[in-house]
Amino acid sequence: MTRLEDMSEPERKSWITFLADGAVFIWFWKAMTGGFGLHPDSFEPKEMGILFIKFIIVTAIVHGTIAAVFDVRKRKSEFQEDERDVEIARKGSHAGYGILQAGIAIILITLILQYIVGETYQGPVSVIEPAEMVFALCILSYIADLYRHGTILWAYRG
Amino acid sequence: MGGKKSKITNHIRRARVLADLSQAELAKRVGATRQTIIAVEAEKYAPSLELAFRIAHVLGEPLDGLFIFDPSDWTTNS
Repeated sequence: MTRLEDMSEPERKSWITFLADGAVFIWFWKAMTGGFGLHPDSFEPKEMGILFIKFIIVTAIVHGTIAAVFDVRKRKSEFQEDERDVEIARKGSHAGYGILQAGIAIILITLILQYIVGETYQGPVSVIEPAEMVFALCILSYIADLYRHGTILWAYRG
Repeated sequence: MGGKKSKITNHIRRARVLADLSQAELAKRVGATRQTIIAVEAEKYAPSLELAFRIAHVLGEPLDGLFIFDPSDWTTNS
C-alpha cells in the first residue's frame, strides 16, 4: 500500500471516503435492522426522522475525523491530479455504476414481484414498506459507493 | 495501471538519472503527479501520447528511444 505521504490527492480522498463510508454503512445497517439482518425494524415516521438526523451527524463526525487524520500527513505537491487519476476515477465510476444498475434492477424486480404476489410473497428481501425501501436504497447506495472506491484503491495499488 | 505490467516498456528511469532529475522534478516539469511518474517508470501505467511526448521532450530523448512496444504478445485479426 502507498504511504499516506506519497498518495496523490484523489487516492487520499478515496481512502477517506472508503473508510468513512464503510464505518457509517456498518452503523446504519445495525441501526436500521437492530443487528445485521436483511429486514429493517419497523419505524414510526418520527423515529425514522430522528434516525436520519443521527445518520447525518455520524456521517459528518466520521468523515471529519478520518479526513483530519489523513490531513496531518498530507504532502503538498505541484499537481493534485493528472491523467492517471482521471483514468482511475473513470474506471471506479464505471464499476460503481454497474453495481448501482444491478441493485436497482433487483429492487425493481422484488417490488414488482411483491406487487403481483401480494401478501403471499415470501422472498428473502421485502421493499414494499417505506422503511424497507429506504433501507434497500441506502444499502445499495453504500455498496455501489464502496465498490467504486474499492476499485479506485485497487487500481492505485502497487 | 493498478499493478498490472504494461506492454509498453521504457527507459525513463535511466534517462531521468542521466538528466539528473528526481521523480518529483520530472513530474513538475511534465505536469503530472510524482505517483504517475513512479507508475510509468515501474511500467504499471502507459502514459497518454501527450504525456509521453512531454517526458521525452524534458528528458531530451526521442520518443521511440524512450518507450518500447513489444508486439510479440499482441495479436490482431486483420
